[in-house]
Amino acid sequence: MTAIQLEFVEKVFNPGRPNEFAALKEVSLEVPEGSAIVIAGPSGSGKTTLLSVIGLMSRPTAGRIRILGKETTLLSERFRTLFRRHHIGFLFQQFNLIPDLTSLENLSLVLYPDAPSLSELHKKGMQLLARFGLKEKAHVRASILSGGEKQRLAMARALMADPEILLIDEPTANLDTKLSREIVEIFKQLHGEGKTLIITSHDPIIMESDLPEQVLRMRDGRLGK
Amino acid sequence: MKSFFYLANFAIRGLMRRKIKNISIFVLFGLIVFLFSGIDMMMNALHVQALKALEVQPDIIVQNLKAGRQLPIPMKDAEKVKKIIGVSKVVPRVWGNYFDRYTNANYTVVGVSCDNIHRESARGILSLTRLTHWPLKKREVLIGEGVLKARYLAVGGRLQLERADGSPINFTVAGSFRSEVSLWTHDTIVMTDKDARDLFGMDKAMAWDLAVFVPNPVEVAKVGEKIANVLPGARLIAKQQLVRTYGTSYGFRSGLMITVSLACLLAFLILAYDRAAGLSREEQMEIAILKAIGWETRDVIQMTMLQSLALSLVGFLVGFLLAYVNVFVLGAPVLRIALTGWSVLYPPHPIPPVLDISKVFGLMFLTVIPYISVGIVPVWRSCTIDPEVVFRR
Repeated sequence: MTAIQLEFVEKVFNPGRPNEFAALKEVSLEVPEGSAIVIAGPSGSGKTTLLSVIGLMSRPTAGRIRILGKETTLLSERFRTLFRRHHIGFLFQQFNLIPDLTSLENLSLVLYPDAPSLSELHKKGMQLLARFGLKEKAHVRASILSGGEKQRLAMARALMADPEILLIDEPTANLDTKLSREIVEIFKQLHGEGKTLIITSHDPIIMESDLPEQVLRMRDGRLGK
Repeated sequence: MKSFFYLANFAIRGLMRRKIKNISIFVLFGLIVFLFSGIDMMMNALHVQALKALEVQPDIIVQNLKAGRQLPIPMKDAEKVKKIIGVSKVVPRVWGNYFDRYTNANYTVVGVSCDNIHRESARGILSLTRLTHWPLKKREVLIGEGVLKARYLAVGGRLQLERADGSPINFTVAGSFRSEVSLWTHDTIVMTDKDARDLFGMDKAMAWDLAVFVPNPVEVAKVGEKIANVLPGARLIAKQQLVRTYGTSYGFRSGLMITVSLACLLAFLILAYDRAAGLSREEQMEIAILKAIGWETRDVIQMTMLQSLALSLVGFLVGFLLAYVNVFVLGAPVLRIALTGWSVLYPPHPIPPVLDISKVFGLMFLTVIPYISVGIVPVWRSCTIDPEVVFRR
């Protein structure tokens, strides 16, 4: 089954204004469920925008997007948000954690609107923290974690709702070689669990690992092999 | 419900995270509520006290004016008024201001005709006093708490005053007025009309003014017209007129105080405008993160509203409670000077609590609701921006 299908997707920022900018141009892509692909390309080529559009955080200017067999292009904002919450996990380049909240609170936030029981929420959060070696940091504020710990916490948060798809933006950009290799190992585990991974990166540690099944290249908003 | 609980929990923790900003809002909010509700409580309490004091007042007071100056009125005029249909009783009153050289204070000396006093008035006076007996006997006085303290007196003690010719005259303190009416009786000395005449050196054929009682309130205006015909040049003061005068006086004084408080209100409006104008970078980031991890716009707005509600409601309650304590427990040390000013001896003790619940809710709706409302638009606007755009900024 196809996890992600994009047809001639375009994304234009500030349309009709002097600073109009086309970040994505006629992007078509098909990602089978459970696969791991890497999208490489220089800065400003449109990689992050592509993830944002696939993750339903940003609406395309043109084209069609199907996620897990569901046509999402015309979904209302509310359903896009609900769909994202339950099916798509994000790992941002800058982690985007809420610095004043503890590790456990950053995780719990994801499922607050679903409101499971608090003990269930904490149990799940603690399991993920333990998985990523952050159990001792459960009640430590995110702002005082190290770069590697933040990366792992952000990864744990992306998995909190147990999504089928993980969108990962430049995961090793802020990490040293050792931590980068560790994070690649985590991705491999997730891939092994059947998650669909889309990773943007131009880091050889990722591109030359045995993780990606396919490496796509982006340049000036266009996607190619 | 659980969802609401989580949101509330997160909202409150959010308030703790931006301490300085939120404490500033809280303090300003509390201060505005403190000032406005304090003034309102004080005015309300004073107004109720005034009405209570006016309950025992005559329906019409007749004064003798000559060249715009009040002079004693001849007792025979009382007979003329008594004959008017609708008048149940006319009481010639002997009263005046007395400057006490020992305490540098003005007392209000009131002479009452104890044998002749209107039953309702006697009952009214008794309800406001701590008296051992009634009527007052010769050389006995009923005094306000201010006089009691200024002269270091107690019930049963001796009060010495000076006659118009400078000779001393001694009185026994038979009782004092209750604190509920202290604002109006603090500097008052009540004695028999004979003693008052003796004190002021007033002729038996004269009184200071006439108290006219009209049982039917509808007839008061008509009786007034008739008195004006019988006693041309007399000045008539109706009870309703006194009520209106007190009301105007309070309105004026509270208006002055509210004008002063406007500076605080202005600061609050600037704060509210700042809030309505936009969110800080940190707040925008937080909203973008929440949106990115799957929060709906509704959830984010709900959380913001909860934060605003908690902040403004607690600010309101604290401001209101402080105002209550200030006015009704501490006696409004600051406001009292501005709002009461007609007595030389200021009543030092608290004002009896009077609360107008509709005004409390009114003030709450005028402060809490607008504060919550102004925060919604910028949050909603921030929610409509793609998280990616915010992250890139």
